[in-house]
Amino acid sequence: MKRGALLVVAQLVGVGWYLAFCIMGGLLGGLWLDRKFDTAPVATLSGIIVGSVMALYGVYKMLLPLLRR
Amino acid sequence: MTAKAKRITAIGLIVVIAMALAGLVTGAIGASLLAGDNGDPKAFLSSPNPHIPPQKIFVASTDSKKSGDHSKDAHSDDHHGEEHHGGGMVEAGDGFVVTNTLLSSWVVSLLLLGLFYKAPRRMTMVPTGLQNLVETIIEGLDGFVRGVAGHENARRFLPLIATIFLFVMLNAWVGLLPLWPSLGFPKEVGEGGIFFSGDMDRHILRPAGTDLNMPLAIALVSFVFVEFWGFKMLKLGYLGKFIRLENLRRGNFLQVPIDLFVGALELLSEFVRIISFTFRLFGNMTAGEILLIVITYLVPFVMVLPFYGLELLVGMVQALIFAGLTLVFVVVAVTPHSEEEH
Repeated sequence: MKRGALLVVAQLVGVGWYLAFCIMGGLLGGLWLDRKFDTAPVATLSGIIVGSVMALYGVYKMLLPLLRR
Repeated sequence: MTAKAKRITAIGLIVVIAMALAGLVTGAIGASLLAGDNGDPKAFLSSPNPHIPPQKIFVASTDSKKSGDHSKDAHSDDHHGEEHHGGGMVEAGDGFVVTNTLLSSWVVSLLLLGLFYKAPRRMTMVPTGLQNLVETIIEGLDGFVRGVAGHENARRFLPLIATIFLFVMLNAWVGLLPLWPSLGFPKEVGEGGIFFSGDMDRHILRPAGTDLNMPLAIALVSFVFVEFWGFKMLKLGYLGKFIRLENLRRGNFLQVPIDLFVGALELLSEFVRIISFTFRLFGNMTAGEILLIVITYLVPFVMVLPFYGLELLVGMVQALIFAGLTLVFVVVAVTPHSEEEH
């Protein structure tokens, strides 16, 4: 595979999975912590917010240079 | 800003803050904080019960017991089957089933067809309205495809790439419309009409990306087109990517086992791509749907708005990734093996 194409593929795949992991990780991690420490729904909400902010920031950082190119 | 505009902005802000506070108090968080020692916390919304499989809306079965009025069939199914399989999940032997996700994807297809049928009517040199919107979309996508595939191939690849992009994106975005989650069948017959505010047994529309079948179908389309264009442009030379014979021809016999292994890996990666495409889109769409449900339950009204914004972005990014990866794989497939950099 061409090196340039491989780089684009790796970046696109990375962004795609990163988004899913951030949102799902924050949500499921929060739910798990809430169940473990009986703090519902504080950890779930915090997990969702942290995951979403990470997703947004990551996509902004990763996708912008790719689109510029 | 005029005095009137200032007044309207101030009233709007007050309403938003009031709704945010009301959401905080009446949501699950407020309810659990205000409940005290005795008495169950009673949130404004009942606890969400997200289900991953799509629900059936219409069943056309050859079995006489199952055919007929779908909604009656659906309800009689549920009263005894709720503990076993939830509200209206597809079961083996159902025959042809129209699920809520399939229905949603049909609506999206019709929307896209309608948009692209209506836009070119009465075209003008200086585009306005719908023509302007569609031209902007197509020009943007054309520029993207040209940038990656070059001018020669762009016209060939654009229809597929644009279709994938628009279909995936619109499927994700329609799910954010209030109409999608509010249409459904009530749990008890007579509890409400098609629009109702009680417990919902099954939704009539659900974004198609949350059903594993839709991402899988597009992944298969992407796979078929990559292989088709690979064979069409390079003829049998396309197989050289999987069966590498250069070292055998040159007499470097020590390299042959490595070539065999690399060829097998290349072949495997073609199929692994289908799984990767499918689960990435499905995971993102399902996570978004669950995220919106949970956040609405925890803090209703205003708090969910930024997450709707996030989901708009996720829908566009996932569509871009699906279309972009298909494009890159197609470009790689049509590039002769000898031209590749090592």
